[in-house]
Amino acid sequence: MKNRGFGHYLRDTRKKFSLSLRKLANLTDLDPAYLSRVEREMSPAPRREIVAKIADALCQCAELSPAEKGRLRRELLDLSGHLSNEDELIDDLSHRFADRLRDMNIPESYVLEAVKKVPLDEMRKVMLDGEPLKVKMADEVTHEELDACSSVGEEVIALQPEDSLTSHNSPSDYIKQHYGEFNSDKPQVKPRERFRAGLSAYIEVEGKLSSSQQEQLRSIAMLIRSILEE
Amino acid sequence: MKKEKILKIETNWDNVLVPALRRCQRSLLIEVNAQSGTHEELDESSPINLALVIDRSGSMHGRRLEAAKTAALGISKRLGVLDRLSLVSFDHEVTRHFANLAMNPEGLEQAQTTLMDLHPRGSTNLGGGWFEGAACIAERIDRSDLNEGHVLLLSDGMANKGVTNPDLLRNHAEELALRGIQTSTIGIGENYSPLQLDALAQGGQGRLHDTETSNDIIDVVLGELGEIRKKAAQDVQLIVKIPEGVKLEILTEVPVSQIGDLLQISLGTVLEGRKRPIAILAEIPSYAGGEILPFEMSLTWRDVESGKKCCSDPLQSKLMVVPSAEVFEEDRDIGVVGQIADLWEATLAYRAMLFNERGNLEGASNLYQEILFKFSKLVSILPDSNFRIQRLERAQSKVARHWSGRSKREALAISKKQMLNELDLRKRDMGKWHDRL
Repeated sequence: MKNRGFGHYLRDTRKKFSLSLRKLANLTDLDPAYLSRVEREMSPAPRREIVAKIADALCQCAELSPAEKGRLRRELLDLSGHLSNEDELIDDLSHRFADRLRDMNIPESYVLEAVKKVPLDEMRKVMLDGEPLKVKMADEVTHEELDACSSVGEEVIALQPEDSLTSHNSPSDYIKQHYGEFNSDKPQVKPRERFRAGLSAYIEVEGKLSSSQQEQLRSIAMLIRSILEE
Repeated sequence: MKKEKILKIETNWDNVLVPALRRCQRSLLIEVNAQSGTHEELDESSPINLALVIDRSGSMHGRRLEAAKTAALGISKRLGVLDRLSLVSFDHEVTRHFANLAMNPEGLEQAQTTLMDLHPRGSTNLGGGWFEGAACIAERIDRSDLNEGHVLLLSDGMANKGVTNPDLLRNHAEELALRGIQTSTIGIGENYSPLQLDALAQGGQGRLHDTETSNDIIDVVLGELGEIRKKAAQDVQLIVKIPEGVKLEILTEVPVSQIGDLLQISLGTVLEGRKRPIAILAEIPSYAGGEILPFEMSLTWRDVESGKKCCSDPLQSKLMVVPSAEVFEEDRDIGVVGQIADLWEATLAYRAMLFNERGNLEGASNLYQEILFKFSKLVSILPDSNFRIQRLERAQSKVARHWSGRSKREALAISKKQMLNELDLRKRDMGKWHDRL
């Protein structure tokens, strides 16, 4: 639920960036009188292309990080009612979730991993339903704490793959699992390309693939991994 | 106290100025470097957990097997009492001679006696031998606080028994590398399979070495021990946040994935004191003057000592959009362009030779055809641009025909080393990969 409209947000932001109405109108090729009406919410929010132009002009005039620029653009599009396409909404949710983690000073590398691993439904709960979000480094988490979270139905997502939180993953287990393939006289299986899509999921394709096919399948494998919530 | 390794990123653009209201191309050289932290003087090296896997098939008869044995003896003498050595040999059968032997005087004696008794026979179950070596390492990992180990495989032949498919070998090596077992391979002579050995080394986050003489074998095996000791970080990932509208093309051979504006580049293992280069071409769309295009980069890696995941502080690298009258083509940094061109050429050669080895001659030639225009544009400001383009065409013509023997194996291994900035451990001047064209 938005507690203020596009016009007010635009005016506040413009003033925060010490940008005059005339300068913004100039940068966006808009009539200053029209822009003033929009800010006072006497005219509806402009169409999408104009909102994008306003966002670009604001970003250009302020010293913002890429994440802050993205956040400003999405906020303007959202408040103007132009964030409606499903893909955009999903993208927006992921970005907002990423911003939330950045606000908690989580390093960018973990933010990337979190956006890949945390299911959209969980992001929605955190961002829209106000569900609490706790972040801890893996080596600070005890097994007792993990058990306690599970017992009350709290979702735990490890951002460190193949580490101590996963015990079924040792080299010996892997060796045992595949020892027969290297130590039998059975005919070999046909050549296959195999793509890791999680700790226990793979995409296997028989025959040779081109490098672009391999690249696409790697991306799909990554998508599967995020669906599996790993 | 343990040695703390810190990974650093260095960036160099050919030109940080971008003309306003025009599309343009910029090249970027990123170098990842591992440095010791402040506690180096108090360091005690982690014990080494090494498995030597030696081909004893019929073709190894004579000086090759003798050189491999000499090198193995040399390794056993250089390991400390806390280090562990395993020895596996293979022909059509796989033999585990000893596993995780402590290199104390008794262990050393046992290793020497066993090595002396190694004789050639039979065909080549390379995959089985390699996997047995990995099994030795895994057992030690289970029984100690070590969380990693290395398999070093020497072979002069092509696997013709057991698992032989390079893609399968690569997949298994990748899986084991993720679990702490790395693989490096040493090809001997003119008949080893670059596809099989490269697949194991690439998947195993290790190195592929080419050798010819007995001295090469000894130098490379002992040199590889030094490389293992220099390992600073594993599972290294470079994350680049790209400004809106900019497209990056990674010119060096590395696994890359992109989600939205974040590009993730997997670099595998980084050695201390050895810069790992990544060559990139950036396609910049039209921007208004005054814009600043920030590229934010950070690294994650797994610490070799503790196995813990680490990450670097983000580094900002910026391009500035200025009026086009202020941007001159000749202002591009020739040094950076030259390095990018060298890396790109080496990568193309490596890829094309693998295509050639698989018998896909048309695919090998097409790799060059697809980039010829772009490459010419990149090198246009270099004084030797014509020479470079002619060399590229010569390489294209070479890989479009059947090519075998020593020259291809040497060229493939040397081009890969140039691409990754790895040392050639042979103690003689091997020249450049393109000397073999």
